[in-house]
Amino acid sequence: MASWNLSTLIRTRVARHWRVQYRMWKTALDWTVWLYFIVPGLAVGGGIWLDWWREPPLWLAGLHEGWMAAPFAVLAMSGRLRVFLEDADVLFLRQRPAWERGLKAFGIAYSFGMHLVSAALVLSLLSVWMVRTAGLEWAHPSYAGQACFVPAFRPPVSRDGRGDDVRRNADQVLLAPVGPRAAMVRVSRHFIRCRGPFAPLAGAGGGGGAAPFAGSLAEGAVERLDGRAVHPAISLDEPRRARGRIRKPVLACGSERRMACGGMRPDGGRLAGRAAGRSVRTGILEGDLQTFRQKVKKSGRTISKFLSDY
Amino acid sequence: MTFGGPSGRYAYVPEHPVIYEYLTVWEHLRLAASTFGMDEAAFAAKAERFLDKFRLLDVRHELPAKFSKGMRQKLKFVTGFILELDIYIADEPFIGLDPRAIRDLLDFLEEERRRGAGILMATHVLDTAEKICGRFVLMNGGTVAAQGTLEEVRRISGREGASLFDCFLALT
Repeated sequence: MASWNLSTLIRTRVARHWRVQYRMWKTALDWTVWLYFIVPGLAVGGGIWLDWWREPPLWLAGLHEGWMAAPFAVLAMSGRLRVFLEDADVLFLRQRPAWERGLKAFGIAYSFGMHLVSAALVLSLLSVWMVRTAGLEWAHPSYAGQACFVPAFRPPVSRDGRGDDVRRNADQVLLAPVGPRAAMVRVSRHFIRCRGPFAPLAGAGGGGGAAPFAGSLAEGAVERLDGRAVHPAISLDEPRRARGRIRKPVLACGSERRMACGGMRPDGGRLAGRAAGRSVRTGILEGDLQTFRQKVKKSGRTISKFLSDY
Repeated sequence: MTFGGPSGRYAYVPEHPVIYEYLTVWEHLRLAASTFGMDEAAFAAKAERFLDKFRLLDVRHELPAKFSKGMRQKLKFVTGFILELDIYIADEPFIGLDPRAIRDLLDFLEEERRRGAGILMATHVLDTAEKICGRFVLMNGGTVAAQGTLEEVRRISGREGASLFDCFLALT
């Protein structure tokens, strides 16, 4: 190889990235997966999509348009920034800031390009709904808007966990998604409050009781999107109160194992254990398990003998 | 942080052998040379000389994935030596090296020092450090216990004529 420059460096790293991806997928997708799942799935799925394109199913018309944003929101939040920096760059490449900046700039453009490709795929799949059913035109602003959702970049992590330098370098570009993400939250809020799936709940039914419930539900959803809300299950501070007091021992199935604790394994094994459990559950034995054990001990008999004589 | 010297360039040799697993030894050196804009003819001559000295010439077209830690360490030093940098920052440079490689490394470090390069080394091998270093910073538990030349460290520790190792034990 001749001497290196930024272009060869980028080419090498992109090629390596795809080689690694290929090897990874190759291990998961062997010929049987292709033969029995992927190829038939593509054929059947493609056929269904074509059928729906020619004649959209009626149930598609019943879906609220607000849900169109959902796949793109998921896509945006699952995005990842790939800056093509590596741990070993700390050796000498960091002393060539122009190359480092070039790698990062290419990485941002590459990540955005890959995101656009993914968005285009999702748009193509959803076009049955968006174009054929909802009647949107190809030039509708929502297409461009949804396709341009910038992925919520996550900082890259090295395989061996020593990616601090790389992460530090990526910090500045992590600011990139802030604006688009805020816009996404605003759009989602608009859909949820006004025209989203909760709107029929709030408006329809006419009952005064349904509206506040739906309203708070929608608020909660918006706050979760904003990242402001804490899930109720997490915010519970008080310990849960006991609902009742159990005076008798509770023996569920397999209680013979409990009996076996403390060296009192019934001679009759499973059958004796079941008999003990049944006796306690039906209230034949009074008191708790301790009392039962004491009674057995006092009698000088084994549990099975004690129960059979009882 | 700004480094001095004509070019202000440095080589960092971490304790953990961080290298590009998918580049051969020769490609490593070439990338380093390209990064610093080194002349092609000068690069080839120097690279062969240092690879030969560190007994890496036979494996110059092999991937370092199967190299031992010592071989990886040597590769990183060779990368620094061919570039003739101003500062070498080495973290535990002798760990994983065989005795002959340690001798070679010490010779080259001395050569670089005579050339005018600065060498900052972090090591627990105090006996070796005492032989090759001009100044010391003894650290214990995250604080500086003593610093200066060997004579100054001896004076601080109150152990005249003692080794660096004994001075360290006396100070901590």
